[in-house]
Amino acid sequence: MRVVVVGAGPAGMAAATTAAGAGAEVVLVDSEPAAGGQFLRGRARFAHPGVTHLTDTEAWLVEDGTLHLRGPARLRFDALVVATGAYDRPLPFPGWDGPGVITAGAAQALAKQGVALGHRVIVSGTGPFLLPVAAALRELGATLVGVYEASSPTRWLREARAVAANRHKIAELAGYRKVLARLETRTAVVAKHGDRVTVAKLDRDWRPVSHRTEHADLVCTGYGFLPRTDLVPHAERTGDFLDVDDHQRTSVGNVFAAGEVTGIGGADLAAAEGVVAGAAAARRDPPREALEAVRRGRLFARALARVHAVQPGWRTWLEEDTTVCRCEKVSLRDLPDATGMRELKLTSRVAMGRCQGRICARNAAELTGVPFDGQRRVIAVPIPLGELAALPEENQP
Amino acid sequence: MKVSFNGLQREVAHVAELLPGRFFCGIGVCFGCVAEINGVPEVRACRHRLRDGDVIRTES
Repeated sequence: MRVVVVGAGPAGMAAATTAAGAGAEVVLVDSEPAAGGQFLRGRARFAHPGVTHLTDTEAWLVEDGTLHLRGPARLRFDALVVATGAYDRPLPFPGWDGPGVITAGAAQALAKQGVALGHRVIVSGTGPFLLPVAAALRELGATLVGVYEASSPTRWLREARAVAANRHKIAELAGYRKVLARLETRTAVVAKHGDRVTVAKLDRDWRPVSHRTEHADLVCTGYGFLPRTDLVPHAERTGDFLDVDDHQRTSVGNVFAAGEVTGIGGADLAAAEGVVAGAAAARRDPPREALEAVRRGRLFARALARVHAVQPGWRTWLEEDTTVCRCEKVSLRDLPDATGMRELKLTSRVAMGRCQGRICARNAAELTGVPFDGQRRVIAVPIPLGELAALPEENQP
Repeated sequence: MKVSFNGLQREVAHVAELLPGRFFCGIGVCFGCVAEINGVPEVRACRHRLRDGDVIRTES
């Protein structure tokens, strides 16, 4: 049988290795030149005799038992594991679409290539991922003006069970001693004009209660993550993340999901989910240790989601002319009253540009009160028409 | 890296330096950094590993 795994991060590598170990023919498809995903970017050494690793390859559609790849090419599968990961959710503020603002993930990716894009940098957002980003920038010689966490860490006190089951996560924090000295909680960047950055103290709903000015040439921002679930637009989900059963099965037949597409809980949870998904995809019982690691990791992931949930006060950070949709240059004042996402898009063009709403759709929905139904796109990556035209006719073998 | 950017010679360590305000997500999701690179249109520049002699255009 053939198992196809999409995404070569911690989850995908574990799924591919496990499925191959169980005797399946495995193809690992990834859009990057080397395995590792964003977490291990360029530092993973992936090689397995039972796995064919297709690098620099983008998948764009799942159709019954076929995965469509750019090229074009088609891959038949008996089971598919979606391990496509997640990307930073930015929140808009005046100046976020100007020079010197990038996502925390972008800063991390650049840092892994030895590049810090600024000299005086601020990291602003929510969640523990801000700390390694700040540490990486500092190690490259940048001056860390501040690390601003919008949430309040005392919320962790209510999560004793998750903390007790995941003590190693707390121990990791000690490694960030030097950047923790620059950490301010209930704080966020709420505007940037040139190098003048407006920093606000926030109330519990993230409404600014006081302001001050800092000087920085780079702001790195990230308010949690949005999963890349485009390959299975019809799969059931809760919030943004794919629903899976205890064998990582999605609601779509023969399609499994592992890693951050199911929730954010770190690389160890992703790898454990990959082991479970890889075994189940190859029709084996998943190892007990992996199932137990997933159970423990999910406790942490759910606590993380609660503690670092985006609070509605962010909507007061915008001015009328603040950009919401970067692709189509739609500002707050351009957003109409609408009853649904479709009407919102058609009347304002928000989420209709090149990124197809990946960056702005969720924010636009929250700004207008329109129900957000997850990221559902029919085609996962833009494809030139010539490539579609090169596809063989349906009725030919 | 010595490259040509919109017809001007530039020396940069990373393509992000050429695209302030456009390089944003860094991992191929936001499409802010789309450019013509070495004659290929619509390339997400963040996914391109820069080499000496690359020709990058954001204006036609």
